[in-house]
Amino acid sequence: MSTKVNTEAPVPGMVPPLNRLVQIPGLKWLLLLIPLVYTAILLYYSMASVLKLSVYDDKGFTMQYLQQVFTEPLYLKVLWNTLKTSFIVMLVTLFISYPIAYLLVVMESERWKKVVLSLVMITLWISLLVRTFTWTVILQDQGIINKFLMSAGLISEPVKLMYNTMGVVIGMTHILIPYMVLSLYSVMEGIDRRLIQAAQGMGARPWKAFMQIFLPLSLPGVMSGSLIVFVLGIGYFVTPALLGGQGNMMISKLIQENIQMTLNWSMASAISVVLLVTTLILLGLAAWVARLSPLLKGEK
Amino acid sequence: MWLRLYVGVIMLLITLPILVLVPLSFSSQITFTFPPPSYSTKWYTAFLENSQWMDGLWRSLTVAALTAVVSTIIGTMASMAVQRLEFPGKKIFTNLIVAPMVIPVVVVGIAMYHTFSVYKLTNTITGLVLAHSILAIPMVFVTISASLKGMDRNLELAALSLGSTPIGVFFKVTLPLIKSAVMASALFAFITSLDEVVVSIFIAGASTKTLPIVMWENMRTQVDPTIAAASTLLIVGTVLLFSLQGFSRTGQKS
Repeated sequence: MSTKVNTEAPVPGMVPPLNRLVQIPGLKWLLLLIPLVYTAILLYYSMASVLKLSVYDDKGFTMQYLQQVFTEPLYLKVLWNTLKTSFIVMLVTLFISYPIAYLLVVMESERWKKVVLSLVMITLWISLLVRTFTWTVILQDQGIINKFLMSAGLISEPVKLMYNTMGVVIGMTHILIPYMVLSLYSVMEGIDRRLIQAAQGMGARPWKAFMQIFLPLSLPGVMSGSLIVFVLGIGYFVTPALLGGQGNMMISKLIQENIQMTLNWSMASAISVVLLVTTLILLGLAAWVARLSPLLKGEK
Repeated sequence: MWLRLYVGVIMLLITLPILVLVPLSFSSQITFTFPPPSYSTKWYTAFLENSQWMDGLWRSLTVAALTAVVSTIIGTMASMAVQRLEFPGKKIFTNLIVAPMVIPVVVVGIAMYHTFSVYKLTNTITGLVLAHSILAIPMVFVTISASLKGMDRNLELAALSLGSTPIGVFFKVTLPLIKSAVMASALFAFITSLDEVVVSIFIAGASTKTLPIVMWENMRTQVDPTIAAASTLLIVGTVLLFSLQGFSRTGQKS
């Protein structure tokens, strides 16, 4: 594009020293080629060669490993646990994030809006390990919550808050909230607030105006935010590994254990294929939702 | 009113848990009793005097700085390509560049571990930088693309018509205009690398442990409050970087 305009001969003296370099035809395509080659070699070539192991072993092509993922109780249990946990996390995250995003949209004070957004962004920025670690401190048997409940006389012995699904859900929700808030906020911001004023002007109560106008218009954000949180959730490693127990392993941990403990590359690769395909399907769904939504189409 | 109250409570529930670590890092006890019975700075001393923690910290900072440089350059090239060139398959190219944001990190980790073992890149700083940059490039790409989309193309066209070369235009016109986005994206890349643990678990070896790896191993074996001190330092560092980035953004507007 830019070179088409440059039809005049460069004025001598005004041209930077890179002048001669620019004369090489097709140099601009390096902008495209360098990043492409870099990611292709480092990521896609590596991924292809490791995923190949799921269907090829020393004896040649085999479906044995993929079949194992879907038939052996251990793997099925991990798959089910991953989907279940991510689904709960997605729902909890949605219910917590919706009011935050809604308030961000309706709030008049620019300063408070900035405060809330900054808090959300800072939690996103703070180390994932630190955020997970802090929950291990809070949720353990001798942790703050149990101590408080016991001294308040509400319970007589510690409640198990971690090394179970509960702990994983709490930790993952805390970490994924910013993604949901930002997804919801970006869609809600595009909603024409005059529609609600109009509804209220015609006699709808605020609650009804919200339910019948705002909520349906925000659904694309709900859908894409939920899918993104779900996708990130099924791939999570650190938080489930630290807050979950032996009984509720997630897919990522299973892959890592197959590599680092049993050195079973084929199995790890087969599970990775399942994880990756699930992710791609969900992302495809998210893209489809975004495309189908008349709101998003109208806005662009 | 109820909404504000509700969101206020949620915001507290989101923020306070992180702050729990700050008083704990000043505890005089070896256990995580909250609130600590008495205060001391001994865990900070322990952090500063322990070579494992300090080496990890410096290694992490080195890797993060190198990752920031590499991924900012490559990410900027990719977004310039998408925003300024016409080519078929632009959408596919964009998807390939941003995909690491959503590909499960473990899959990226084992893939690189597999390939890097062949080329003797595991347990090297180079290997860590290469791996981290793949995860950081999408951040750079998204940030720079947004900035490029928002800038006035006419300024570039004017410079071209005045005889500047495309490369000259980039360094003299485009780059100064997107400067704050470039700095922000370098910061994102830096933080991405500084916090990266999953891929590092595979790539880092005994002699190239980064800070998150030291923390990770610590959490899984003998948790001692030194980790609370390390975490507090990370929190303070992050908040400082965040406000820095906030300043650069306000600077851009004015």
